[in-house]
Amino acid sequence: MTELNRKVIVFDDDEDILSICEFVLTDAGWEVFTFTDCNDILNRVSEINPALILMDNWIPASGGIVSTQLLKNSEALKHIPVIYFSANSQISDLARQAGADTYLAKPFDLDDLEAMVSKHALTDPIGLS
Amino acid sequence: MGSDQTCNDQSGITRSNLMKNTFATEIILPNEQERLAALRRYRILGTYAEKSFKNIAKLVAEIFKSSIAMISLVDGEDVYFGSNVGMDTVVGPRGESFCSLTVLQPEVNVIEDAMQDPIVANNPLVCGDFGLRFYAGAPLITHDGFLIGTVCLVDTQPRKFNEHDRAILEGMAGVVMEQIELRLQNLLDGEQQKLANSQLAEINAKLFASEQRFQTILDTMAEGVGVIDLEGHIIYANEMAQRILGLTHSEIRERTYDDPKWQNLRLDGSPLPDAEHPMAIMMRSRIPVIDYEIGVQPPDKELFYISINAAPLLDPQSGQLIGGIGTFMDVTNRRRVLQQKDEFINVASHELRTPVTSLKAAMQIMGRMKDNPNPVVLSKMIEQSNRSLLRLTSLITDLLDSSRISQGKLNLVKSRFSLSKLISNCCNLIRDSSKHEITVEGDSNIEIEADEQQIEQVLINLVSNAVKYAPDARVITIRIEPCVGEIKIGVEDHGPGIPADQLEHLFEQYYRVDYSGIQFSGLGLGLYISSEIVKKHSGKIGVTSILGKGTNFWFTLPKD
Repeated sequence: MTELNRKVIVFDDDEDILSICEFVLTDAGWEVFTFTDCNDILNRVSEINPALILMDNWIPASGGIVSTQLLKNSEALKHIPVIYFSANSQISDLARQAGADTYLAKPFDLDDLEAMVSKHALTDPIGLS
Repeated sequence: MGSDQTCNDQSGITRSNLMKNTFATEIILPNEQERLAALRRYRILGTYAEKSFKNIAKLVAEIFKSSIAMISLVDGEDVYFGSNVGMDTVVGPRGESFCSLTVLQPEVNVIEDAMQDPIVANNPLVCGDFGLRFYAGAPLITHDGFLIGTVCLVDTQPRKFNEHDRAILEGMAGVVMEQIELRLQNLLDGEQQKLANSQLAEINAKLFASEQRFQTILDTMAEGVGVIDLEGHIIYANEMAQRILGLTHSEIRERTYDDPKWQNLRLDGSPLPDAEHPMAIMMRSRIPVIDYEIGVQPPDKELFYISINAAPLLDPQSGQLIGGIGTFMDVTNRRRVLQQKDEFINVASHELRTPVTSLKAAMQIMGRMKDNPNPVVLSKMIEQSNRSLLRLTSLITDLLDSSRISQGKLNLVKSRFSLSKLISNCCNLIRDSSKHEITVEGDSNIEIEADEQQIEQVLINLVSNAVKYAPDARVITIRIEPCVGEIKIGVEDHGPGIPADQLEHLFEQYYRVDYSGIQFSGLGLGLYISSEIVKKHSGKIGVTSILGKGTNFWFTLPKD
């Protein structure tokens, strides 16, 4: 009953980035789900019910901004923290536009990735969020 | 005896141009030349005006009850009397005319009985048939004192002529002279008017020519020109202004430069406040504004950009501001190129950072496990690093190629080679990195002469595009078709196809396909570089695409 939610979803079109994130975060004790597109995002996120989402800006089909806005407009999902994730130089503007909770610029440091995920992930026990 | 008959020692004299003085006194004064000039300046001799004083001659004859009266003009050789009463000629020799004596001094000249006057006693008019006995003449005196003629009367009987008569005659001469002066003044005024008119016509013609030249310049110049009044109303717009704004002259005249229906924009896309319009800035400061770029969003038409120069229009007399002249040119293309460049730099930095991100992460993971390496992860990270480096290399190559092409430095190193080798290289590369299967149709053993490295680059680009844009299609077909004088190489996928409106832009620099809401990575240089390479080989490049069926990119190379 006191088990914490350790699920993280990563959306990125680059499979190398996905495998890095998966490797590093799994190592840090997270259960990692990766997707190369944002199709059917509301259902996917609802089903997994993660403690945190990493969202790439440049992702099929509708892009990171629209996808994050979808999540943040959903009463059931808007509490899930979204870390915006991009190599775009205007990342802070993009993250604000998307309504993300924070952002991480690519290229990033693995330590920063781990720290940011730990800092922002929900700490509610599973099922009580 | 006629008037030209001789008497005494004057026998044999006939009228001739050589003046013969019949008087016993000198009739030519030292100022004769000036006097003649004064007479001639009135331009009356030989004109109708000579006869226009006939009524005055009649009046003189009437007043003095004389049968002969005249107004005479004393010229160099002759005396003219077109305005006369009682004479059957209008001219006589100066040497015989009594008027020659009257123009010697500025007073009325009276000879009451010629027979008694030694000066005229030998004059043929006196001693001949004419029988002149009386003469009274008042000189016509010009405003500057020259004696040019007379008003006179003649009788064949001796007469008395008192002071009163003299005054009347003098008065008549004054009237005649006034008329002559007035006539001259009229003539001069008329001439001056005529001169002024012709000068005016000349100025008008010059003005017209200048106006025409000016108009031609305005009509043909590549810049729009608009003139506004103080209220901002456009009172003139040249052809180009009409073309740039897409309005007719009458439509333009209904506008102000800050027409609220037309949204003016700053370069960042935000609305341009009226006070920030270059025309408004100039009207406030009266200082010209140069090369000020704004966006213009007309109602129902596409946004365009113009660069405006605004200069004050001052009243030439008072120096007061009366409006403004704006010249402007359409800089939409220039602006688009700049925006495209900015966008490209954004895209390029993103594209470069992506492999750097995975390279950096792979290095960090390898660093973390250096004391206790996991062989599976290690080999995966090395593979990932290589892929990232390859990606970086290919991006940098594209950037450099594109730059070389822009500078016209794309050089060919031709050799003779078989297409089969090229195709197998390409297949190996694709097989390593994707699930696609490549089939080859046609004779791949055909040899061509071209730059092998560059043609391979084209083929890899087309095949990679097929992999990228048709990710779910399994088969990619490379088709080799020999045609007349050339070889056609096609790369066909069975993907979603490309919308027709995007096909024409595919080979443009920086153009990236964007459809069905899917954004694709890449610099937008691959097809541009491929197209430049093929053109450099004197070949053609093209594409056909059917939505839902697939896309066929092809290029041709000349056989020899």
